[in-house]
Amino acid sequence: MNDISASIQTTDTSFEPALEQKLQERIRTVMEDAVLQQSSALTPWDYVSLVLVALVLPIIILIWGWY
Amino acid sequence: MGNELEARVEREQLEGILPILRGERIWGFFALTEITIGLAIATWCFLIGGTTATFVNLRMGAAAALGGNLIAVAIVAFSATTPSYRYGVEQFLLLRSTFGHRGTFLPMGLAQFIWIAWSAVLMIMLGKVFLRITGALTPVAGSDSLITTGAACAGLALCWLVLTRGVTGVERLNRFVAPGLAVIMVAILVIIWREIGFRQMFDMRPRGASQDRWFNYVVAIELNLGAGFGWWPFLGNLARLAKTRRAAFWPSLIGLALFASLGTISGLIAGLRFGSSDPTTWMIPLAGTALGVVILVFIGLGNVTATVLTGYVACMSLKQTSAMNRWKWRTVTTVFMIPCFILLAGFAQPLYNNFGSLLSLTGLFMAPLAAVYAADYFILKREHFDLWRLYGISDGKKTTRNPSINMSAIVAVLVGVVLSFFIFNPLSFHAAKLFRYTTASIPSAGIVAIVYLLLEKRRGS
Repeated sequence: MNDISASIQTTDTSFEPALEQKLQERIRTVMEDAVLQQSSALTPWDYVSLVLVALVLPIIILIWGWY
Repeated sequence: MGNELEARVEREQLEGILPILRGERIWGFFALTEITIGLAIATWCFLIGGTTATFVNLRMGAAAALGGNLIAVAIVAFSATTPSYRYGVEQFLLLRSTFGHRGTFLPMGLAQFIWIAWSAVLMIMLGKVFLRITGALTPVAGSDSLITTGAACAGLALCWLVLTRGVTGVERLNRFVAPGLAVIMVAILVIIWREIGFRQMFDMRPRGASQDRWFNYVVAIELNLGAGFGWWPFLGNLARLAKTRRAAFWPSLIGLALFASLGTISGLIAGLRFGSSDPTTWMIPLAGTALGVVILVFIGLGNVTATVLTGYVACMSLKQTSAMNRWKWRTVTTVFMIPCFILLAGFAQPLYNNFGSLLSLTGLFMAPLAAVYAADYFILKREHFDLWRLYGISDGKKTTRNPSINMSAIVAVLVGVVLSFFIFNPLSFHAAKLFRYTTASIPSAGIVAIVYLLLEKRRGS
């Protein structure tokens, strides 16, 4: 256990070597997934629905509240 | 050794340090909607509604609650859930990309300040619940403030004890408390409606408002924007466990904008009816001594679950720092609780009486943070963070290091906070003319994004 507890000190996060290996595997999977899977990127419809929900609908509600 | 490692991996995943892979995501649309509704329907709805009732009538207050929350929650949900869902990583770790490794202390510090203050307010409310219950059942000798503070400190000690054991038990308890609070909110509406009628509900006047109706309305909108922006640090941690992108985003709007607004509206009506922003003073006049005491006990329980859940999120974010990521959970929870105790012991009454200022401060701090993070992820990094850099480890070829402090982000946020303060002072409620047309949080968020992008462009050129 002693060699494991001699942990790798990285820039900001410290991990035991065995855990760092797991972390590397996970990061590799996530990065490949995030880059290749376009389904996780936003579509124009997402931006349109955001404008409707965050802008148009609240403005209608706020005008109703005033008048 | 293998089992020990697997157990450690599972723990690190849960504590937000390791990325969660797609196959490991556990929450679909309905599960996350249930969770966000459970988070939203909390005792702070009464406080926000009661404070809104100081400025506006029912119609304006309902519109301010719905409109303000929709704008703010849509912005923060969009900003926080998209990257955390994509990478399965906790928000405060991803913030290293925007602020740098050490620079993350700025958003962390601002969020901790807000969480500590909100937890203290909830505990003071618990202390007041205790005061009202004992006052209703037996005449109590002693100073009200001493009893309130003592009960609040005892409540906080209980929350700390629960938090050290994790939140599983509290999450189970919240499955009863949240629906119970929803019933109380509906009961408040029904009782007041039967007592004074629907039309009179809309005729009730705010008690402490100035003569300027438009100014009051914008203040009410600003307070509810603050309540909505306050969800920003919570959302990344939820989204990393969502199964689909839409499941990460829309439940936040349903729970935290729609249901939180409905809760706020019930608090608004009670605040208008009883002329007080303190929810603990409403229940016994509203429902009689016996039922009022039962409701107060339930509200007390709600305060405990809300404080433990807030403390959990706060401690999770503290665990992302290099200083604390190897500390024991109990030690991290103690670090969070100590300032809460200090606030309770020294500033309980002023903090509770100025809840509106805390709401404004929440918007003042969180809106610039959400804006700079969104500008960085969507515009500058084009929806791509480099996790190797963020963790500061080698990808097998080279170790790329993230900057220690990104001054552009720090400067932009500080500009936003100062600008917001000048547009609307959250302590004195003095406002510049611009406030009447734009509120304070919205222009501050916009300017912050522009300043950040300009500074980054200048740095890159």
